[in-house]
Amino acid sequence: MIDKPVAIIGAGIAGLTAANFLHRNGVPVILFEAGSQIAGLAKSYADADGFSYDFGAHFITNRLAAAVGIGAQCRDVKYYGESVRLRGKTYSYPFGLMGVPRFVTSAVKAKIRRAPAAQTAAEYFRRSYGEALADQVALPLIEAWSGAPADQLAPSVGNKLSHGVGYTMYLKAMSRWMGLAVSSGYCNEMPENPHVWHVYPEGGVAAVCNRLAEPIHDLIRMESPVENILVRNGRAVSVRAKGVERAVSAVISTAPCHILPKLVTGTDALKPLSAFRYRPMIFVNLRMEGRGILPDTVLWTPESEFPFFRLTETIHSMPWLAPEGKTIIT
Amino acid sequence: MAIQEVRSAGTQQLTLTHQRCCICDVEDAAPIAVGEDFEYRTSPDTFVAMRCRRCELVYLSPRPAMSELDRIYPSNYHAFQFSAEKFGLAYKVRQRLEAKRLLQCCKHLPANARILDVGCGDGFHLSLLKKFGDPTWKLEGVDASSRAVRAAQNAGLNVHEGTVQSVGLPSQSFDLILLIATIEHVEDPVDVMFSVRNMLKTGGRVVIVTDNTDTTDFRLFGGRHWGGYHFPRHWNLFNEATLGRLADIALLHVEQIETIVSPVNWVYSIRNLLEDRGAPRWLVNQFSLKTPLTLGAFTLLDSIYQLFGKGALLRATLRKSK
Repeated sequence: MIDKPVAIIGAGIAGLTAANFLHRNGVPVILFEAGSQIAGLAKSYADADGFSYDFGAHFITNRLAAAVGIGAQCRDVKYYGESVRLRGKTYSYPFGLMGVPRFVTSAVKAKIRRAPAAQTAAEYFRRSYGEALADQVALPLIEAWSGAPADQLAPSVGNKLSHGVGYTMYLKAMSRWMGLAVSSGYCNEMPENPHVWHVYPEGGVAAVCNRLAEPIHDLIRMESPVENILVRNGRAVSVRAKGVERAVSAVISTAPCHILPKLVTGTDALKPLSAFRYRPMIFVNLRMEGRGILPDTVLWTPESEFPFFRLTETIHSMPWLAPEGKTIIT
Repeated sequence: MAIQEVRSAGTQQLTLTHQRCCICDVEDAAPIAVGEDFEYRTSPDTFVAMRCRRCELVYLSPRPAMSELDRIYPSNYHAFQFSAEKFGLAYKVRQRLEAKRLLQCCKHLPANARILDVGCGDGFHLSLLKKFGDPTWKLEGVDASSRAVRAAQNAGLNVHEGTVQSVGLPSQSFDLILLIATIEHVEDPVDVMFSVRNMLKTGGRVVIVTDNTDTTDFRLFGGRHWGGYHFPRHWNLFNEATLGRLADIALLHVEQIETIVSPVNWVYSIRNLLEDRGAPRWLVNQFSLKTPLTLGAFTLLDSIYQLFGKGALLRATLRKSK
C-alpha cells in the first residue's frame, strides 16, 4: 500500500500517460505542470482563418488512438510519403534513391564488405547504406537534426528500420494497396505491421493528452514548476513546488534530463546528466495559397545550400488542416 | 471540415474502461491488435487486444463499460436467435455435432443429475440436452441478457436472468456446469469460476469451451481481423496454459484440456478482412454462420489442424475434487 503520492513532473504526453496509468492501477499521484496548459510538445492550435497546427508530432497511430480510447474521434490518414531533393532532382525516400546507380553500387559494395560492428552513427550509415548514400543524404540530415557531428553520435541513431529493407518494402506495398498511411520506421519498441497506420484526432494531436487528463483532472497542479526534489538515502522523499513542500513516495520526471540534476538535492547520482546538451529546433509555419507545393508530405534537403533540412506539407496527408485551396509549409 | 470522415459521425461512442490481466492482476501487456466491431457496427469506437507479458492471456483493453452491454449485444445478435428457419442446413449440421459433443461431456452423469448452462443465450445447448439427453436430468440456464432469457423461456427452458454470481443459485448442488462460448464474454472470469466452483457438488465437473489463441488462424489474422476477437464482445481469450491457470486459481482440478474443431474463427476472420477492405456485399456474405459451403470447407481445414492438436476451440474439463 502506497500512502504518499508519486510525483510526476510535466503534464506532457509522457507525464500524463504515467499519471493516468498509475491512477487507474490504484497508485496515488500528483502531477506538476510548470505552464498554464497541459500537453507540452503535443499541443495543437487552430487559428481564426481555419488553419490547424500541431507543435510536435503531426499524427498518431490508430494503435495509440485506440489504446487511449479516442479511436472514434479520428480520421484515417490515407497517404504519407517522404522525398529527398538532390542536385535539383527529387527522389522518393527510401526506394527512389535506390534507382540512382552511384547509390546502388556503393550500397552493394557496403553489403559485400564484411565490416566490424559500427562504433558511431557515421560508421553505421557508411557500412549499411554505402558511402555515397551516407555522405550525401543520411549523414547531413542526421547532423542537421542533432546538431552534432555524425562521428560523435551513437550507432543506434541509425537503426530506425529495425525490420530491414524487405519488411519496409512490404509495409509500403500494403500502404499503397490499403490506401492508408501504414506506419514505418517510427518505433522499435512496438512492432510495426500493416494494421498500424496514421490517424489524426479531431481537435489535433493534443486530443490524446486531453483524454489522458480527463480521469486525473483534479490531480494536476497547473503553473506549479517544481523547485526542488529532495533525495534521502537514494530515494526521493519530497518535492517543493510554489514554495510548498510535499512528501512523496517517488518522482517521475519528464523534465529535460540536463535540467533534472539542478532540481535534485541530496544526491550526486544524476550529475552526469548535466553534460547533455539540448539544441533548439525552430519550426516556421508558412500559410500559402495553393496546394501540393512540395512533391510529398516531407521533403528532405541534405545539401548545404538550403538554410533548412526538412520541409513538411502536412496537407498532402491531412487536407483538413487548411482551408480549401490553401496549404501550410513547415 | 468534412465531419463525416470522423468515425464517430452518426453513431454514439461507448464508455470505455481500461483493464488489467485477470490471471496476473497486473497491467503489464503489449498491444497486439487494433480492431472495431466489424460484424455488427454497434459503435464507431476502436479497441485494442492486449497480450499479458507475464501469462500471454489476450484481453480487450480498453473495453466497453458494463453499462454498455445492451448496445454491444444488439437485438439481432446471433446467440439470441440461432434458429432453424434462419440458418437452415448450417443449423441442422451444427445441432448434430453439438449434440454429440455435449453428450460426450455428460457420459458420466447419473440419473437426476443437475446441469447448469452459464451464458446459455437462447438455450441452444439446453434444448439439445432436453432433446437428446437423459429425460431425468434437471436442466437450468443463466444468461445476463433479458432478450436471450425470454427466448429460452419461450422454448420451455428453466433459465434465470442475471450473472452466475448474482442469481443466487444454491451452492454444492450441480453435477455439471457448462460454459460454452461464455468465459470470453464475462466481466471477471476469475470471479465467475469461483461462483461456479461454489455451485458444484464435490466431484462435479465444469466444461469450458472457448476460442483458442494457440492456432494458425490466430497467427494469420491476429493483427486485426481474427474472428475470435469478436470486437468488442470477447474480453478474455485463452490458450491451453492460461485456461489451466484460470482453473488453478479457482482451485479446480484439470482433468483434460484439448482442442476441438470449429470453422467459425476461420470464416469470420476472412469475413472481417473482406468487410474491413470494403469488399462487395455478395462476397462478404459467402462467409457467415449461414453459409454451409464455406463452413464445411473450413471445418475440413480445421480438422487437419485438430490432428496436430491445434483445433480452433479449447475444451477444458475441470473437476471439483474437494
